[in-house]
Amino acid sequence: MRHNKLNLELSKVSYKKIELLQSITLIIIVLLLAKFISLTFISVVLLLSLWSLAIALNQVKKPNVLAGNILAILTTVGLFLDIGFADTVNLFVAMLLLSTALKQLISTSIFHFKSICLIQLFLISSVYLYQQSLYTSMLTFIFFVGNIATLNLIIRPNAKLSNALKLSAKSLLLSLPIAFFCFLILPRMPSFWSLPGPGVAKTGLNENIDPFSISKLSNSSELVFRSKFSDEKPTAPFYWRSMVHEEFSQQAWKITPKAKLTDSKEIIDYDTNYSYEIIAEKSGLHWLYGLDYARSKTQFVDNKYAGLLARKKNLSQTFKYHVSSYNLKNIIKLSQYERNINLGLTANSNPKTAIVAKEIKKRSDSDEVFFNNLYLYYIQNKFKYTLEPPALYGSNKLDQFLLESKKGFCGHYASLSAFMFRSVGIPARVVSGYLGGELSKDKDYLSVFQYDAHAWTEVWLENKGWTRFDATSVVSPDRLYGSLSQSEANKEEFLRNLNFGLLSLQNFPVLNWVRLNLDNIDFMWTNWILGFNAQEQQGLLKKLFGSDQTLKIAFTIIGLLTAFLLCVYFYTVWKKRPMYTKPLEFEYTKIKVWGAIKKVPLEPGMTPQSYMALLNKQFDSKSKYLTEFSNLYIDTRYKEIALSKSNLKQAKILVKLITKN
Amino acid sequence: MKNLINKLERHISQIFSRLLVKRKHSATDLILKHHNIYVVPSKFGLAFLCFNILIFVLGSNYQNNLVLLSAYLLISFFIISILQSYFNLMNTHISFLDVEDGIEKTGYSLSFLLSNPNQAYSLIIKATNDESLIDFISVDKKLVKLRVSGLKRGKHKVARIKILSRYPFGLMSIWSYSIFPKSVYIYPTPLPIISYGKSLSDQGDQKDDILKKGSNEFYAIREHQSGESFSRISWKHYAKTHQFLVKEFSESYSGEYIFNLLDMPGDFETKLQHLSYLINQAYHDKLTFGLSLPGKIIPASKGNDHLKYCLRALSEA
Repeated sequence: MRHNKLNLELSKVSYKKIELLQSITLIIIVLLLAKFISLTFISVVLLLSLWSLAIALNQVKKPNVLAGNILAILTTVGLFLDIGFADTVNLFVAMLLLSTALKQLISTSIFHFKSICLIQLFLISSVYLYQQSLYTSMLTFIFFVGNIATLNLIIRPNAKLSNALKLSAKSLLLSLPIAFFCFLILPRMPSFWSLPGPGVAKTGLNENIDPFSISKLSNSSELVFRSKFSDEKPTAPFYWRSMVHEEFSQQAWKITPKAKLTDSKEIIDYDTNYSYEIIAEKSGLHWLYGLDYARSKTQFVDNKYAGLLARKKNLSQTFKYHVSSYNLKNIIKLSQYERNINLGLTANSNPKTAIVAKEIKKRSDSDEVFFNNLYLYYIQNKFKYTLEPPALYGSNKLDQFLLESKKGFCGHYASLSAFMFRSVGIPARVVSGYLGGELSKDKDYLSVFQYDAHAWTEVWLENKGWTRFDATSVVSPDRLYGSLSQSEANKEEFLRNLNFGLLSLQNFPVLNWVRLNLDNIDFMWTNWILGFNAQEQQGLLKKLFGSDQTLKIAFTIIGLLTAFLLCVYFYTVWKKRPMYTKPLEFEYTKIKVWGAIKKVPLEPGMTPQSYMALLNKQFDSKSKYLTEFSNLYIDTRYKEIALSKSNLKQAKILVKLITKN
Repeated sequence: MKNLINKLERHISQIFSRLLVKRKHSATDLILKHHNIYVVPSKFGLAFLCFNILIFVLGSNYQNNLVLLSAYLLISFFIISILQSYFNLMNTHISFLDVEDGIEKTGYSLSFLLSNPNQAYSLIIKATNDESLIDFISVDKKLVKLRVSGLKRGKHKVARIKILSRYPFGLMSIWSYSIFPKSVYIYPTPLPIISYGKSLSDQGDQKDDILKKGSNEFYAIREHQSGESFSRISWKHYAKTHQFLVKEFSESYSGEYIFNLLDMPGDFETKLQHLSYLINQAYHDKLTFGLSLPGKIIPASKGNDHLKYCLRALSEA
């Protein structure tokens, strides 16, 4: 019953403020999620939310109930048809989006606004399932501020929008310390039940290497991972291995089923071993990154065949893991299976290439000489590195590339070289991953971006083991060191291929400086917030509390929380203490307190004047000061003579003299 | 079952009000401080917490730090809002101003002043069945007037006032009570009586005379004449006949009227209501009147105070 009454009193104007905030929030959320959910669906929701924005701005009318219901049925059917039931997370988020958008269209009562607020809170949090960068997080925080401000407006419809926003920002900022504290200390719960991760748009590496399709990688300046070396850094170039492609068929290099299995072979030789940490961004693939022969003991990391790593679960967020790397050449023995698979070729494919390879082999005494001669061949025949290779057609693309175009990028060279090694009987495979990375400003960590994607060849040489053969290193030597963004020779091409972003402005020193600094902040964000996992928390808790943590944690949380709340409480009480806004009021209060101590308190009904006269009678010794103060008080308070600075000073001195004993 | 729960609830709230509320809230001037303010999550606050738990489950399931962080942020916000809502109401000053006696039909009206040295927003002031919404109060005292109805005639204690706020975010219900140690009278609702033919006066020998005149002169209804006060128009007759008729106590008679309960028609309550009507009329016409009730006789007098005295006597009869 009270609700009805409140509704009546809630004026139309205040509805508008709430509607405005809610529809703007929804529009931005929709835009944030646009990349991840079906475009048709997103545009429908966007239209709906633009409609409610127009309603909030008094441009159009609300649809009536019937129209709203028909719209709801149509869009819901559309939702299921468009998104389907396969991707449950997307379906779930899409349903949330649609329900909020529809509800906003027809919202008329406090109850509606309140429920929209709650659903939006949930929606805002689920944005994190898709995006986790620092900027998204800041934007999300602003959403929370807006959402909380609507709550304030619901309670107090007359409040100004700006005041409501200010109040909500203040409250949320005040809650941030507690939130971070809980985040650090409260022990993590394991997943309650297993859920599929949200589908992430596939960018970057591909499980099948078709060199003639990898060029598009260079377009993306998206971060792939960062690595932080704990003590000494291995020397450049950094070849980050991610996948090994051993099966060659239909022009493409594929991953064998065996390589996808877990491999728990232990490395015995611990000689050249260095360790580092990698913070991997979300990716559509479960493959991770490591240098040389990598092994990891981090939870959820799967150690795979040929020293590769992968994540066990499709985690929805940035993932931090620890890696130890060993020299690839430590593995001296090649199993029969590996030899067979690494020599396999399709019959009759690229016959001209095979002939060229055999010619070079004829000139070489051993596998190692062939290895070097192949490098020489690339140099002598003036092969060129380019991010924009000419298109090749037909089934024998390697032949065309070797003899005609001679222009290509890593994928072409890796593919061609591996093919040539195999055709002369040397086991070889294509490895894909990333090359190089950009050192941070203070050389603390290395950032690897999508455009650093690379492919190269690994060759089995007798007595040497797996050896890297990267034709790019002779074709475009400066590509090896640093990131592609720092390669002088390909700079122009690189920039031309890059989407517009901060990186594309790197010719301006100031902007580059800004970019590097922002990157630094982003690294700290990923390292400390996103990478903070259960293991790290255990470490931290152990450091803080030692063993027998549970009780200590509970006490610390309760203690610190209480302390914080008490601080806030006393600060506010102090801030809200009675203020002396009128001149000399504070001084007069002091005299009153003194009088009360001296057992001559102010009786009810006494004016300041009569009270001062009473004091005057009681304390002869202070008579002079009391008279003077009384005159000053009467002048300022009743005759409205402005209190000058010197008079105020005088009054303060008088009060001191009066109250002294 | 439902009845039982209701009964139990009422019982508990009675005990609560007797034990706690009275001591801390009974004053003509009350300042709200921590010992007399109560905070409890509102229904919406509980819904907010439920959604929070959902977000937490989402974060745990996906092992997503940021979703977890959002859940923690909202929980902390909830905790902070407990303090904020308390600060809103803190130091609110309620001072009693006045209470006016009323009749059974409309109830009595209660007025008091609200102020806060800082500012307090969005207050809902409730007394039994009337409530008033106040956007904000500040140092300047704000007059609040509430009407309490639904009471039977008699002497009553002034209703307990509830001061409730959900500011700033509606997550918390925070309230306090103010009980003014005052009492108020509810008079019997005046019920018009067309003719009153019997009266007692101290002039015994004129008694018959009055009786005879009774229906047409002592209390009569005649046509309204231009220039006369509208206050005496019998609206009841107007509604029936569309004629302006004036109720009249004979002006020729300037003696004292003592209205006797026993002379009134109807049951006890109706009698009281008729009396209530009559003395109001008599006061209006500036007559000298008194009351004769069982066990109590009020000598004739005049004026506002006398009227009030008589009406209070009626309400307690």
